[in-house]
Amino acid sequence: MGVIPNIMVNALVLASMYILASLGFAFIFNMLGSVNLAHGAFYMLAAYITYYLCAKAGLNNWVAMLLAAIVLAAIGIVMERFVFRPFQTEFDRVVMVSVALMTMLQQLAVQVSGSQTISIPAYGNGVLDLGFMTLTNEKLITFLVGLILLIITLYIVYRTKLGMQMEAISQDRLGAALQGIQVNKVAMLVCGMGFALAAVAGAMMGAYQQVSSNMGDNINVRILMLVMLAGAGSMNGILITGFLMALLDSVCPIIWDSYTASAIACSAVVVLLLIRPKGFFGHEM
Amino acid sequence: MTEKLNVKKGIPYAVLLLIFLVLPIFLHTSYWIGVLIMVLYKVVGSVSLRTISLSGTLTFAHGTFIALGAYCAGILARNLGLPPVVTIIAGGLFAALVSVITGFPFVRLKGMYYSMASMFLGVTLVYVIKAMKITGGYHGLTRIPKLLQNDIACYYVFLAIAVVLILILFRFEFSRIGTTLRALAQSQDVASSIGVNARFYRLLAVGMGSFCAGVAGAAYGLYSTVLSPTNYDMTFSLWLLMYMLIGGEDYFIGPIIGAIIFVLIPELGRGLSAYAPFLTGACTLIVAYLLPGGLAGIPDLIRKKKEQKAIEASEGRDDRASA
Repeated sequence: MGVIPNIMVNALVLASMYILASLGFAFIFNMLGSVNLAHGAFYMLAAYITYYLCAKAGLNNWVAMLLAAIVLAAIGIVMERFVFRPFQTEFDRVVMVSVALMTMLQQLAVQVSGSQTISIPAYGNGVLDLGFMTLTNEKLITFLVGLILLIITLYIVYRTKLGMQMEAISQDRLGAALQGIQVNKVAMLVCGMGFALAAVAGAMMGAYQQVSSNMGDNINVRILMLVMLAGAGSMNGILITGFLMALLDSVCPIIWDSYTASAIACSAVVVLLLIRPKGFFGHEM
Repeated sequence: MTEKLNVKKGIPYAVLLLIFLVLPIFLHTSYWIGVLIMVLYKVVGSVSLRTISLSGTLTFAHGTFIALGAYCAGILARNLGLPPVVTIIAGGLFAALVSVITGFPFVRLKGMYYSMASMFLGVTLVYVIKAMKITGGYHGLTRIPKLLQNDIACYYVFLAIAVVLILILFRFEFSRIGTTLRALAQSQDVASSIGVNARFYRLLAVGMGSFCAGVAGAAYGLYSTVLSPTNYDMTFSLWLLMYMLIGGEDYFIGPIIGAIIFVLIPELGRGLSAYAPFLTGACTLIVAYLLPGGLAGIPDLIRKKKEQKAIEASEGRDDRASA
């Protein structure tokens, strides 16, 4: 049969990308308390940068992805300085700025590519035969990249000084500053890192699925859902909800048609959120 | 912040109403009538969104309730052939009913959590519309009987509906209920401690706002005769919210100004319509960084600056006098 292993593989690949894309959002949400609705748009921007570096400039996939990550990290640092820092307590203003950026980036994507379907060249070709099922190298590579970056990020969060400083800031910003933590510097670094992770996710998903101007919308809702389900300040929670979300997204389309599947997956999340509005794993903010 | 109702405050509204009454004389092509109806539609959408956010929480699901009103009216008119008066009111009531039922568990959430939950609810309901058969699914609902055959007559009917809805919302806001809602926005705990039933009042605002949104959506659906679920996705809800934030959420006229200006921006240069999103985005950024009260807050901002200057000047004089 091989249906269940296939579903699990698809869910794992999707989960790794969802989690990667949402880590940056979660960092900003936990540490700075800002909801960056434009996160999906930046993820899309990274996919476009990678595509054009590959297709037009003829660069290698991995080099293009790295360049996109560097560009997005720079954008993240700028965003921290000019959006998240001045509007720390103002939810409305952050929403305004992020929606404006989202609109502009989407229109830019439409202008640049039109409505044609484009796709980043595959990172890996061929299939791997495991005996009981076959696995495309593409999926394997996507999953491995996600896993490695995830492990690195978790190492940074839990085992390094930077991670402890992040935790301190998300618990109490003023207290952290009084302890001599350079809050703004840490916030900048973390924003850069988060945006770079989203860039990698965008570049990988651009090859695994396709690059389009509305790819950001879809992931945006997913990111918000899984971070809200996990709750503020929880990294482990994101791993679990990310996998849950990916599982819902891979199982439901098999049983129902795509819109029914999305409706059911989203309803499940809404019901879960109604049970615990502040998330399942986080602390209250 | 109770504003006194006086004649001076009514002038901008009267001027706007006069402009909207006269405009079709100059812009009588069906294209421009369509644009003007779109403006009114979004004005009502945005003003009714503000009613919900009076209690201090932004909602991201407003476009969805407009869609519910539109779909309810469209289905009733198409499948049962009911007259517009019935279908439009039914659309509003349906939107209000769904919003109150779904809002009941949501109104206990505060601030950002309410906003996020409402966004997910909105996204889910749009998926439900796309998945259902009766709504025409992804392809949308077509062949809805038109409101009136004459476009200009349609426009005046729409204007009348918009004026009535805005008057209802105005009355709602400057009544005891509106004051209670503003008290809830300032501090829900304090308001609750003196016996205000926070959930009831917030639910009332949600129902009221959604009713008006549903009516506007239903009327627009009957005018356009085609409903497509992609028109009601999250971007639509987000921009209704943006009109309010840009116009100034502290002022009743704020969302009206915001919606009028931002719906008209793409119409300014016909050939340049591809660049309109950049213009709207840039305008939004300017407002976000430079005008803390939104566009409607500009007069207050100028007044405050002048007062500050006057104070500084008088202080300077005092210093010199004492020296």
